[in-house]
Amino acid sequence: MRKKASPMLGFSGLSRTSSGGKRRQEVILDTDDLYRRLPYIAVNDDSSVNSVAYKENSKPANEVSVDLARLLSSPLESLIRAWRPAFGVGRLSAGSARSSSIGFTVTHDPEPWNDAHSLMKGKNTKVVCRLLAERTQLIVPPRKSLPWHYAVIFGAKASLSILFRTADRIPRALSGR
Amino acid sequence: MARDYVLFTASAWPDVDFHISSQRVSVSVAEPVTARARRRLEIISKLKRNWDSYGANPTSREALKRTDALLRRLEEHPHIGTLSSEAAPFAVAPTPAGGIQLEWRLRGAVLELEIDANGRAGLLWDRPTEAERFNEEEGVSDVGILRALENFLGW
Repeated sequence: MRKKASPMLGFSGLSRTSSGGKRRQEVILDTDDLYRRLPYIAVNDDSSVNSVAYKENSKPANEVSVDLARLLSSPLESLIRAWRPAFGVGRLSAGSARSSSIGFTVTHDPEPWNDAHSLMKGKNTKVVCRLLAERTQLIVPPRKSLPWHYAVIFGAKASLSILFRTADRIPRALSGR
Repeated sequence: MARDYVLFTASAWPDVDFHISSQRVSVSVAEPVTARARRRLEIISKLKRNWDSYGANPTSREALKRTDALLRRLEEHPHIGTLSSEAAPFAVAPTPAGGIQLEWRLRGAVLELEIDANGRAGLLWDRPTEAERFNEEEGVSDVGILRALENFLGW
């Protein structure tokens, strides 16, 4: 099992275990939580999540990107990795996405700059988007505007996150040669 | 004791109320029910590529034009002045494929209208208490949308 990232600075640092040049693929359990970034325009006035949050632009079709919560120190890290300080975060359980009414598969799909990246795959329809939105809980509300002090703190955290992840990569890249 | 009276609501101007009290006479002009939806459209029209951080397209001109035309038809609907709050869309949001989605809610049921990037409209009814919860219809005309909305709101 992968070591839990340090929650102290709000980003994952050097605590990751590594196996060669490529990240290990995690097994996602039904009890695992998934995070989806939400722009404020995809959140309704009553804080429910709008189904547009799970619609796609068909590139590629029937795949929805999420982050595996277990590999992030906090929901905010999902925003830091995408440089989206004003976004919100919605939480959905992998079991919900795999339920018979939705029928998605959920697999870990690490990316170079986001090893928590995961994919929900299946036939994505309007009905499925509604059901996914209905089962998503808003845990970080999005912001319409960004106060300057928050932007500065966010920028510092994001920069440190990049620095640490780059430092984490160097020994792995060298050992991979 | 100060008491307020609504003098009359002119049927020709359903958004205008004339009030008289012991202290003052006032005329209030209510916002059209689509005002909030129009403000959202204004925001949506300015969204840039990747507004959702997952690679979304900006909203297409066709989708904006069709939504605007539909809101105008809604404003001109004969019953709009009497059922204002219910007729206003609960949510107006862009879709990542460059379309616009409008949603009406009433007593737990939802009517979702998606206008895609080419201006094509599709409807989805969500009635959680019924055996057949979801119903879909694609390629719906403006008249068809208004009829569906009338049916949904019980006009």
